[in-house]
Amino acid sequence: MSEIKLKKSTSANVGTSFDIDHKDVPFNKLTLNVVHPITKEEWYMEYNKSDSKDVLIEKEDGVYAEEADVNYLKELWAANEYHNFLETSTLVAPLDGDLGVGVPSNTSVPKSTNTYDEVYVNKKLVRTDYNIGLHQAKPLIEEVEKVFGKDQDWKQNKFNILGTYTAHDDAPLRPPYTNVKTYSWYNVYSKPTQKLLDEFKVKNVGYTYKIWHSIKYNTVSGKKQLKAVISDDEYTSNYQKHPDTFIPRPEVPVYSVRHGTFFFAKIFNEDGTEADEYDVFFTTTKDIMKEFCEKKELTFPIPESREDDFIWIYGLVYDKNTLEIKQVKGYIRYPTEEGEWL
Amino acid sequence: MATPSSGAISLNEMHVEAGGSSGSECSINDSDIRLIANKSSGASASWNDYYDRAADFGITMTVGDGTHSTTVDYTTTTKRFRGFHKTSPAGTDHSTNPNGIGSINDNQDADYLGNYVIEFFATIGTQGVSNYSLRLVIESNGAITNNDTQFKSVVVNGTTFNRSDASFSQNPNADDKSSMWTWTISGTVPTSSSGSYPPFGVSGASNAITFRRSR
Repeated sequence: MSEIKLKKSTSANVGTSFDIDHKDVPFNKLTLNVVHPITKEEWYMEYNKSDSKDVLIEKEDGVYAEEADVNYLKELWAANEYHNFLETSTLVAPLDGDLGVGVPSNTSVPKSTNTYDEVYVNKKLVRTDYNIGLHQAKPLIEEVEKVFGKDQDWKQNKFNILGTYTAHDDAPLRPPYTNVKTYSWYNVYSKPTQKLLDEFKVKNVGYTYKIWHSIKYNTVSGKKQLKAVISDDEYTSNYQKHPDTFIPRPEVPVYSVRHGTFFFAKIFNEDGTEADEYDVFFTTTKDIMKEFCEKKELTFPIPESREDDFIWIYGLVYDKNTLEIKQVKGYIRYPTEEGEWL
Repeated sequence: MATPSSGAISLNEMHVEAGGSSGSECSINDSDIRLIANKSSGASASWNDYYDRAADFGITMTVGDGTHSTTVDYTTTTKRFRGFHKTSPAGTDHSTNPNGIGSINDNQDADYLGNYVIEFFATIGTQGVSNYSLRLVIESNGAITNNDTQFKSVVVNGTTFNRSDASFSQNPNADDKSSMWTWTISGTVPTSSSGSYPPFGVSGASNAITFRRSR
């Protein structure tokens, strides 16, 4: 913990400014100058009386603040603005049939199905997820069907995704996957049905599931796994009140605090056992993520040549018992050459 | 036109700013003159108390309502807006729709908000979530100073919001310059245009808004 002395300044990176409240009582405001993570515009901000009081430390010789508090406020603003950019650049209203049962009708959907996602670990491409309607998805469906037959209505939603893996010596497969012949089918705009949860013997502990889930097809072992995606809420975050549903999590970087955008995933085997590795997902800026990785002696997942691409989410794969972070994942979305996007 | 900020000041200048006719009879203890300096009847006052004072800026808003749903990682959030939004600048988190929502009968006053146009004055929050924001955005043409010459408080539909309780931000060097005040409000964002979303009334209601510099 280190305190920094603040100058009266509206132009410094961090400073204070004088004001009076509605009762004409004088007070100091915390001021910040920040750069927008996307537009690179300069923004000047003043915190209100109450928030400033929480951060500023008034002493006889001047006004101070904890450097960590100031850094948190700056990073939180940047992460939220980055998330705002993601939200407002890619979406349109749904058409009939776009959304599954129980999904609110005013839910937005991607502008285009002509997209694919690249997943990076240790700066290496480890997985590519194709929209289910793209020609690249067709051979993947065929590979899955050779072993599992028509296990699902793969295209039940036009935004569904199918992906497969690439392993590198310095970017091994995400545990517990054992080989690159594993295929991930994502069924989106649909919560996992009770029938599906029963198929994988998932206990009903009261989690709120997100409106997508994945089935992992291991075409070598012939086994399936369910990846259930779980919202972070009081039941998963408050150990004192809900010890049975609490999900332990490692330290994470400052992330966008928009509602519902911090979540977990668990992988279930067909016998109901769960993998030792959990995922935690969040959205933040590349600068914040890089700093976090450096601090934790982890490798920032995105190669330098792709850092300015559309990184829409990061994931940490961690051991649920030790909280050791085993992988840092970064997801980038791209348009295909067939389609327009952004 | 606000009263002078220094130098000679006459009772007539105070009276005119308070809404009286120039040259008409008045006294320093008249309620309209006291109001611009926030003085009670019979209170002591100095001439300095009447420097840089302005009459209230009153607006009538026909309340609008709108939603905007977004999804990034298949996670959808629906934001609800209630109040007035002139247009919908792309890429801002107060984007609603291209035609905006609601209307106001006056959007500019020489003595308030740097004489800039009000672009957005509405609540903004995620449906079903506790806590939301009341946001005021003006189209500025450079940096403005966040002090009582912009406004000291604003009364919306009977509820007072003090400027000092709002966070403030601006981007004076951007192509699309704006200045913005944001208040945090406790309460749950409704899921329909008829649901309660204070301080504004339901969609279509007529709400009084008063910007004040003296109190």
